[in-house]
Amino acid sequence: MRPLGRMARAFVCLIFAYWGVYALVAPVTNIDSQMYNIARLELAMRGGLFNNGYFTSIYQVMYPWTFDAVHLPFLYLGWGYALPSFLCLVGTCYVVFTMMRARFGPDAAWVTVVALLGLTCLVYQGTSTKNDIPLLFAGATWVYARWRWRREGGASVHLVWMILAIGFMAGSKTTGVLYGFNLALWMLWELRGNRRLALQIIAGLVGACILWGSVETYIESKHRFGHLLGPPPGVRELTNRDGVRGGIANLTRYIAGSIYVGPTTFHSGLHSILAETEIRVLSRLGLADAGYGLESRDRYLIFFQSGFEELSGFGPIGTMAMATILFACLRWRPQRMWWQLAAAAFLGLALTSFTIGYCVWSNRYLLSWYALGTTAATCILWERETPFRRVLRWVFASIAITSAVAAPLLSFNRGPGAIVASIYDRDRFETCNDPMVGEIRTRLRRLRAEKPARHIFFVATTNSVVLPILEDRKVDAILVTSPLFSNLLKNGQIDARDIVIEDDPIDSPLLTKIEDVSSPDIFSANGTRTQGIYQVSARSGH
Amino acid sequence: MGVASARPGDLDLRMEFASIRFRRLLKAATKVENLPYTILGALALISLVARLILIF
Repeated sequence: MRPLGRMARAFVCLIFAYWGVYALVAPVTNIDSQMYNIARLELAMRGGLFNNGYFTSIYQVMYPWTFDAVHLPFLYLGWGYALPSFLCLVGTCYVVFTMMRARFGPDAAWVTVVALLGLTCLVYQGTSTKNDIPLLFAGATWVYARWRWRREGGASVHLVWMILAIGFMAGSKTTGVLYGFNLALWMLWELRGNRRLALQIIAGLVGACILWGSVETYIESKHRFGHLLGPPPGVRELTNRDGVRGGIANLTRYIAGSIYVGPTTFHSGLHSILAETEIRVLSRLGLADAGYGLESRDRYLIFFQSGFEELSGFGPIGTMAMATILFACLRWRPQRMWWQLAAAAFLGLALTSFTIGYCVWSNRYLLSWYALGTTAATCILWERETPFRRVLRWVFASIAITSAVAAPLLSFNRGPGAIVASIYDRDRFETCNDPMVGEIRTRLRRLRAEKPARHIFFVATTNSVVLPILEDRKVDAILVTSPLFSNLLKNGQIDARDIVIEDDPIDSPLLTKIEDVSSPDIFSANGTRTQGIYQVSARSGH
Repeated sequence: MGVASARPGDLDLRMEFASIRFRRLLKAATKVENLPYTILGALALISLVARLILIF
């Protein structure tokens, strides 16, 4: 191995060790997981999946949960929540490393891995509890199994792993069904000459989808909302509703968003210029506001390169990956490895653009396409041995290493201080994305210490951030939905001096009713939303 | 023949086979080239058990 490969290897080992420690000690920090991904495990433990009255968000029912369920043992342990995602990152890097080493040698392999670790969004997802990285990992495992199947003379064990990868992918995220379906078609196309084997594969795919495709959440969605994917208006909100116009608009947003102009956290004016340029381009093309999901609009467009795990872009390596993907559109080289990878990335990017509505947190939907683009970029550098390319390799590796080292340092909750905080100031750190929930929990703990015998009712409304309060055994809160709490009030089942915390009280008609019998402790931890903790002053219903 | 009706000798043999199979599986799972399979297999197994616990 040359010095370049040795340097890349040293940094890969160092960076993996760092992220491994982080994954081991970090609590669940992202709001999505505290609201539904992981929160629903806590709720399902109380009431199962079917007809569970505790569910507080449609997302707890409508989204597949095969990967989310993997976190159940870690909920019991209280540590290592990010280990499943970290293992997905390790597995993906191993696949890329092995295949690159076989084709281009160890230098290329180590530089590719360090480049992957330089994709900020990828490493943030690889140390998170979100369910985006399992799609990449399952896809990588599918590619690896196919590669070994071809290399090892068609050993059928690899076909089994391909099937399992598709099943796991389909159950991890709704979009995984789309990608998994394409991989299944590809697999069957390759086996078209062997009808018997193809039928066995179909049977295996059906079995894998039953076992790992999260069929039960689709059944429950159909039962609750009358539609397999969830409430139709909610599903429409998440998709691209503007057809080809929306798809093209989203594609241009993703391309513009890949341009790295420094971290957003430093409030550089370049970010605004980039977003405004994109808005002007879209406006001239007649694509203003096309392709958005939820309530997003062009006037709110900003391309995040921040340290937030939900929002961050892919950094300078991401820019190079996207450049490689676009370069493949201009040069027809179907025999070359880099072109095949870049073309696959472009097709994936287009598929995402045309199907999913654009949102501020859409970056993590692109993990697989950026990983392919990055690998394609390193393939170009190692395709031929020229002095110019050797210089470029050093430049590329230096940028990759800088990005990989900077990824934790530029994040507000991924740096070395975060590891210390995960151990010594865990409660505050866990709610660093939503300090208000931390404030509520602190107050509830105080109340619980003062009044150990009283009930604490947590009246959760739609999309409440429930996990930090429910997982806290010291608070021992009783989760109730608004209608259930209404009934408890009406039936006189709320005792005097019981404590009630109502999430998002402004919208709730219950507020007035509770205020009549309580002494509210209204407070705001973030300056905008207010929370109320009420102590019931007389037995309700009297 | 079911396990319940097996003679002690048969049962020992089956246990031996099961043990060999398990050792083989363990050996395959710890091979570096099977790392992605081991990770995927572990995640899939945990997911299956966890979902069964959570559903009911």
